Amino acid sequence: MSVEFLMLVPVVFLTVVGVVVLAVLAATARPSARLAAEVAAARRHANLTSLVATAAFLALGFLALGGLAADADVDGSRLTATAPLICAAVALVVLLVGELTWPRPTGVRRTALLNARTPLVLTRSRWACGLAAGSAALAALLGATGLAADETGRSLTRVFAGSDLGTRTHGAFPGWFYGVPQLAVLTVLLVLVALVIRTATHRPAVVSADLPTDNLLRRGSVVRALRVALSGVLVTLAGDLFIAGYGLNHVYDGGRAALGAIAMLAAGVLGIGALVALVIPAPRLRRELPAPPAVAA
Amino acid sequence: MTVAITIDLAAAAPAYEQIRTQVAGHIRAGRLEAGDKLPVVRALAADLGIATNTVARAYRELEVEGLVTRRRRVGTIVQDSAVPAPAAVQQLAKDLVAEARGVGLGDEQVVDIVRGALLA
Repeated sequence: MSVEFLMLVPVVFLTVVGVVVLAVLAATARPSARLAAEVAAARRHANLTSLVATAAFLALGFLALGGLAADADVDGSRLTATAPLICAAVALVVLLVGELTWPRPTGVRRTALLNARTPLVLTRSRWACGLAAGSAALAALLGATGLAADETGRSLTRVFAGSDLGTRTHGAFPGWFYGVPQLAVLTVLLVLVALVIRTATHRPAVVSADLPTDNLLRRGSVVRALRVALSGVLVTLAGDLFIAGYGLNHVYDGGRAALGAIAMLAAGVLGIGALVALVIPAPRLRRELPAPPAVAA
Repeated sequence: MTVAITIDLAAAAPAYEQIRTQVAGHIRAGRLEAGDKLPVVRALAADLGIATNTVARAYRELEVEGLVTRRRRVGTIVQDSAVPAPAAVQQLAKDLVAEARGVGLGDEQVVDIVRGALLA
């Protein structure tokens, strides 16, 4: 089993997870009959955006899958290494467009709640902590493997000093050749997440929605952005850990080989984590709506 | 408690004046207290679907009136000195509104009556 084939695992993982997410969303959809028309329309908009984002995510995943199946060259393998992050970035662009095209207030009479909302309040969650931790871990791993890789930046070489055996090399390995593009896409990804959160904070409130409902819709948007970004980061981290662990296991003996095995095991756990992250639903509307707020006479 | 404002774009009063009077009304009625944060100009303008300049002007007028203050990195907050009307006066106002609505008067007519009383 080639290493390039193993890099396919994250893409297949994401594809499967995307289908599962769609199935879960469809199964847990709540009836619109008991919602105000504007709230129901806003929820439809959010669902449609989420659906398109997921479709874009899956379509790109399949494209990356096709590229690998065609036995991609070196540049193709670099693209594959960044594919999960690129898929997540494209999904975030779709979510951003969805936020920018959120239903705007119409009619001559318009109501607004006098509450001060900030991105920090909406973002404060385990999702944000998870994304921060995952991004930091990915950056740290890429830094470490970048320093450990040989001068090609995509192989791990062990030199046997004072021995006739010479060297032992294994590739692919997530050195700078793969690490630099991944870090670049990760940066773009985090900027996109910040843009989605900022736009979700300042977008128009849903007409006729009370404060809890409006906040719920905004938190849903924020969580969807954090969720897809976290999933992309976790899949990339899992892939890098697996490839790095595989390389360590094959090039070294003893302690470092054991470390490689542990890294491969951790990669499996993180891959499952990415799956779990995607199937956790974002905050959604409840059936009961609280009483409308006070309006100045 | 969450308070809201409603503007009527077809009304004779400009939108900034409608925002100003309603925010002032919430402060005078004690629904907005000293230290409460108002939404940022951009967010309120987005919610109402109007230009940011309109909301900014309403906030400026409220600031001139001494009801709100703008602080860097904090935003626009209700001034400490912006005390609500005495409870007895607020109750009288509520009674007046209830009575007027009871006999079928509209809100503008109630305001005209108060203005008339102020002119006496």
